[in-house]
Amino acid sequence: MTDTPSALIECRNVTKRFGSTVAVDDVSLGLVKGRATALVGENGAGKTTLMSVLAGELQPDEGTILVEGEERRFRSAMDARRAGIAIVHQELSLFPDLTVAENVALGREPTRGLSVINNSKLHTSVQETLEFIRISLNLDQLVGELSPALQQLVEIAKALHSRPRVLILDEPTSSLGTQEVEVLQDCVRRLEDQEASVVFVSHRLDEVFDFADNVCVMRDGRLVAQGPLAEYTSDALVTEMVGREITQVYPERDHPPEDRPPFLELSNVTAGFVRDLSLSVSPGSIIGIGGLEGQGQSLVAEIVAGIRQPEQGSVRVAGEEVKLRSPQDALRHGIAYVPPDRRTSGLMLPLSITKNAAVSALRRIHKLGLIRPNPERLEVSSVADQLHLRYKRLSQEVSELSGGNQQKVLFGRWLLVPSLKLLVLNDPTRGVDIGARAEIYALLRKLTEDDVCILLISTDLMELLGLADLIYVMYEGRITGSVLREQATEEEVMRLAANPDGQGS
Amino acid sequence: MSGSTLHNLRATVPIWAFTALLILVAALLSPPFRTLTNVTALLSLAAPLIIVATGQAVAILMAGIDLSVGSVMSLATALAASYATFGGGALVNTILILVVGAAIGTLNGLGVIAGVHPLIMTLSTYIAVRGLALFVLPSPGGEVSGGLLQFVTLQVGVVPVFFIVAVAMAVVVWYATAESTWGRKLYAVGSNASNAEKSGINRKAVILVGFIVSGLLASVAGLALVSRLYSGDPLAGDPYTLNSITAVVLGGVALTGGRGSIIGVLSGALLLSSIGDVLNMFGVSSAYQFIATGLTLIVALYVYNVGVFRRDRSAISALLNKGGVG
Repeated sequence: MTDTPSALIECRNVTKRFGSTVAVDDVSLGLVKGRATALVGENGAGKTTLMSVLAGELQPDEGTILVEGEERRFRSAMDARRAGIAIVHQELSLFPDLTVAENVALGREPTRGLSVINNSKLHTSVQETLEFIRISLNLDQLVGELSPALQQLVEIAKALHSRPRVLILDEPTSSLGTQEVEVLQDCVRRLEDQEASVVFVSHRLDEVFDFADNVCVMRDGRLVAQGPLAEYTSDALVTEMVGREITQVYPERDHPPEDRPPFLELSNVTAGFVRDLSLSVSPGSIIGIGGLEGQGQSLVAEIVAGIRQPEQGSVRVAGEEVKLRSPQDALRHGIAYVPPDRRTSGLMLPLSITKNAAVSALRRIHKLGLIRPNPERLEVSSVADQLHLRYKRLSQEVSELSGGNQQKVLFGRWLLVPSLKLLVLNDPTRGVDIGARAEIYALLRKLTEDDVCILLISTDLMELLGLADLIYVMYEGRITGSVLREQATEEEVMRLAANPDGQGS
Repeated sequence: MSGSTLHNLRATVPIWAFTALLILVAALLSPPFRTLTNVTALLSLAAPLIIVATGQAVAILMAGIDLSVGSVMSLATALAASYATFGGGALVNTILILVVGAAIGTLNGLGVIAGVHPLIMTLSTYIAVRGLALFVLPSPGGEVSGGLLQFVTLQVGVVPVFFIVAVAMAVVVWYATAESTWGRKLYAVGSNASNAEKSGINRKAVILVGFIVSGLLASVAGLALVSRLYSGDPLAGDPYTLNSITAVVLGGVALTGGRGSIIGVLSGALLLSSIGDVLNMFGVSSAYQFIATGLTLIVALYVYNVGVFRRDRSAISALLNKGGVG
């Protein structure tokens, strides 16, 4: 009946529009039993929309979905769940005030009749699911107290708890460390053994090759390539994704940084988990802070940005000792911070591009406190051009933009800030596609040529190696060493990141 | 008992301690306060508030609010006081009152599901139902069915039967919110409706049931009011709209939804009822009673927020110790 008889689930000629935007354009795709399929593409290519259609969260405008050859119409996520399709989104859908067990079993609690929850049965069943994934967690711990990586695993456990036949993972590894990624990989393999079908949506191409058997590439809402992964090289996939060849992701430095007095100096700073930390950042340089996730890098960013105050040690800006009591204080010294979670701590999603971008420069643009729409529009649109922002109107809500473009709006905000001296970035390209990444990197390089200094915190090793003049590596709240650009290799940075005895090298 | 239930219960300890302390101190210092007559009066004062606040807490836990409860209570007393007009005995009259309460709750629920903000939806029904109450019983008075009156004024020793009913209802609703699948869904919708839907929860059903519970409990609270008034009053329920919200907040339920426990609300309602009574016993004028209540609310909110702040901080350090924040 179908050309792929073993397809567990299939979509035919699916189209999904949002207003005038065609997010998914006439896509036909079949998922095979016992196989993992990678779905790759730039941000905004329509991957998440297509997956949401498969998972019943969105209804297609055209086209049909077939489960085991039978046409099905999902009216809600619940319908799709019943048909054995579970999805794990990049944005967590967990409840911080509920425990691990309660979150995993949410919506499918075992009862003792009269819908009274049977807690011991609930615990046993959740324990089984966690054992399948091979992670051990305290079932009674509130999810809000877990690290992002563990929360991500709880989210995956929640999806697996319904024993789905199709598991869709939408960028599941963005907050996972190497160890957790291995746990997940192992789990995907066991699902394949059980004849389940796994879809893996990702930007990280190296992972795609580790996880998947088949690959589908989307670009501008269309499925542009599909087939066994073995037939593709990493470069070929990138070319399919962007529709053009990207030769140089990391921009070259025109001239080496001059030896100049540092703009920012931290000396023997202790704050919470961070102990005795010293570093300095000179104008025109990019200083990287690397390490595994959660070694205190974010705290350093927060100290520099004025969100947290050091308990001991000193902070010097342009040679003078200062106390940065608040982000406004830091901004007054020309220090801007781009937090890691743009959705929750950076952008105001229901507001327009203009309002989001101009919010930190209101006093400069609007003299006398009255809004002057024209100068504002001019400034924002010039920044938008500079960033290659893809948008329809400047009055468009930021929530309508793709992840990479949202990140660019956040950057744009700081470009409008008068006298920007130091830009602190915390995982700036998480969830940002390769095309937008290259643009962001080029912009960072350009900023350094204007004497802005950049403190780049990243868990992406390649990013640090590609951009930073000097990489500090942190482990358990301390700097275990630093590596100059010329000498930096993956092995050297990893050695410092994973080995606490590397101190002093 | 599940983990989050215990967690929510632990958070009600300060409010219970404070309520107990207030009553203990008043009982020690004021001979009139510890008379049995006053105990009966205090408990019968608390009964309607406990019931209506329990319903209000359900609405607030799902990140809604129910402003209509005051009018629903008034309408219940008006219906009870005009049973002769509608015919039927005490039982038929009681059923009518409960059905009307549930129906108004249904209307609220449907409106909110259709996209009207709960504040606006229940404000509209609050106003309209007040009109309905005035229509049924234009001025205070009327005659309550003998059978109903006999029941609502029953006492077990010094304890009015409606106080027992009130506590029983609060406990049952607490158990349902804390330990049933419906309750789990209620908290989930209250803390994040879109995530709840993504988890396969039928948001609309949860909201509808929540408002029905709130409306139903408001009409029961109206009956509790009848036990004190012995008649009907088309405006008697009015203060309960804001008082029920006050009791819920005093009880530690977050107005943003998804956090708190009905057990705390029980204490909040007791505290709110006792403040007035205690100050009365010491001869403090009613003007100061309102001021005292307002200040208590502010202090309670401060205590809860400091508590929340502490928890967040400990959560942050827990993250750091595990190497969480990236």
